[in-house]
Amino acid sequence: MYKKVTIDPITRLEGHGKIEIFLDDKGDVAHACLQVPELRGYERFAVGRLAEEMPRITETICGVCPTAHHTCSGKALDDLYGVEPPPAARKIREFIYNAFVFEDHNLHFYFLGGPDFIVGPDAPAAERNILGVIGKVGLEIGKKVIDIRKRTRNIIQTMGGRVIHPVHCLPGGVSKPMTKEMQEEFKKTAEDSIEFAKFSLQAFADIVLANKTYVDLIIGDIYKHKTYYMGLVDDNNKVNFYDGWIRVVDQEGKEFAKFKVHDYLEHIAEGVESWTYIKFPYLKKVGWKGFVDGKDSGVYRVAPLGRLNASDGMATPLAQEHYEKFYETLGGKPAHNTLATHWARLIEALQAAEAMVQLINDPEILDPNIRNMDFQIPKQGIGVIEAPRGTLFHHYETDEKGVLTKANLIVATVNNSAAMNMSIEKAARALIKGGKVNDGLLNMVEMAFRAYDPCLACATHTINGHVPLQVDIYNADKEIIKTLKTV
Amino acid sequence: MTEEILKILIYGVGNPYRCDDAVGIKITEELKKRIKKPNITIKSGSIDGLSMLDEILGYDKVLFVDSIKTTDGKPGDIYKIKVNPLKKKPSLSASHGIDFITALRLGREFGYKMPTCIDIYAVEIENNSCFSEECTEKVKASIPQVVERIMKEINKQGNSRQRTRQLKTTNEG
Repeated sequence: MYKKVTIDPITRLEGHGKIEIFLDDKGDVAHACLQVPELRGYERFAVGRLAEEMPRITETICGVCPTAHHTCSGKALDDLYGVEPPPAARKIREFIYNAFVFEDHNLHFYFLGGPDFIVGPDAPAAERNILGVIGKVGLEIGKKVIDIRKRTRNIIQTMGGRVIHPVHCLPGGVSKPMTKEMQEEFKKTAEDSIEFAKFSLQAFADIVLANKTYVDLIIGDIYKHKTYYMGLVDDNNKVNFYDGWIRVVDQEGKEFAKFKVHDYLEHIAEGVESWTYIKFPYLKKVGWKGFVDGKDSGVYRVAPLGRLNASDGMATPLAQEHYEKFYETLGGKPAHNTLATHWARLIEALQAAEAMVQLINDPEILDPNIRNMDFQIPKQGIGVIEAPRGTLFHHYETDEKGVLTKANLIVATVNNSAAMNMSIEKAARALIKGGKVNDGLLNMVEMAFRAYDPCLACATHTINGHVPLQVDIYNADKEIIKTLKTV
Repeated sequence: MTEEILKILIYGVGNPYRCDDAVGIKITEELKKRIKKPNITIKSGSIDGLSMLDEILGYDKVLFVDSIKTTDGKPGDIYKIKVNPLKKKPSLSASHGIDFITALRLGREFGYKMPTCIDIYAVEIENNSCFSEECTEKVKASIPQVVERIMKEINKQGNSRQRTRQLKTTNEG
């Protein structure tokens, strides 16, 4: 006999999902899981289409990571047609991509995950939103957030043609060169982005790190899992968002695997469960042992925490300083603390801003040679990129005319799907006792989930965006005995 | 006397590959063929609250064209909804970022020049979970009707401004 608690839909995240918590007779948590009741069929939909359409099709998977899908797809097409983009094209892509990572990470910190800390996990639900954040940090800071986001998005708009679904990536390069005028404007944006990233890290230090309750929450056992970690690194094992080696480290931070994207199927397998449409990737060489952590479980984690753990450091100097402070505070490397993902995200935003400055000051970025059209007969193309939410894979197979015969996408969030389930269950077990379920406790369960910045891909939207958090508690006869609503 | 021209944005919201979800995009595609006025911008795409705020700043009037699912509606039903952010509570929930109403509240809070009029034309849909670049039949049939209603609204606005201009000219004369 058990009671069932449903959080449906989960608030403040992309796509539709619901958390179900099953209570036993004593009112303690017997089991908890994340359900994704939505089937994404892009892989099937892609078959029979021309490969060159893929950067424009896959980016509509959702409205959050279009630039990641677009760029990853563009890289898969480079591989498919055997064309290496000229240096200027690669730099333009990387510049746009870093601008995207910067703005997306800021969006999460201030608008999605941030309210949990800035406003507080126990604050009334109606205040745990951006308006609550502004109430706490002040209107001027709020305007700064909006302004820098707008300016970095303007980079995507200008170079990518459209900000929500850009069109700049073409096989072998990009659609247009950068002009001197654009470069001058972008230089200012990039420099201001560094200042803003520093400001955000300072705000995190002042509001979160200076608060013992919050630090205890971050380092406490409730939000901890000892898993493998995965992320892209450069030749020096430093974090790279655009390209490099896929590196996996174990629970002690020791390198477990390092491979190029063409070998990804040797290392990653995907499991399925009957109760959800989401797949569960795991490390093939370790194997699937279910929703458990530890050395014998193939569960790995990606996204900011995974990337920092999988690397030997940040690729830029200011971000590196914060990387060192990060591990010093959390008691060494790797850090297994899920909530530390928020901090890692801000360190990554700083690296993205520094990378923008480096790239935009490189004279080669203005070179008008932006396309390599020496196409080879297509057969297979694989691309990888670090989306803000983790490692993203696009794998296409085509006939000799470039018509897709097969597509496989491992979407960033999916890599974390097993870990997200584990985190939800662990938090639920720790926080819900003796049938005591209130809004504050449920928010703390959701916090485990939100730290991953999940993106479950959504094609629907409501008129006023008002999707209330509803918690239904069922008795053993499946009758609702209590309903909680946030707003 | 110089007549102030209203800047209007018509924005079709949706995913072009998710069957009826694309109805707003299809309507704006039709409108693009028929409206060639420099003061009217027509766009489309997936959009969240915060991006919406970026898009609407600088316009006097905004018309969103979107799909909707209501409890009792029939596929193809057409609704016109007036948006009044002050009448609704901001929500912490959204598909991503912040929701539509919170974005409008945020814009006002920041003192941005917001559109004075935001309306939504919405079509009741049947299927937004299948992959298709075509809408279902009843939804498809509603497209010309919504196009006509928007054309009528735009033309009425133009004519009414023209009449105002004539009156003003007369008075000045």
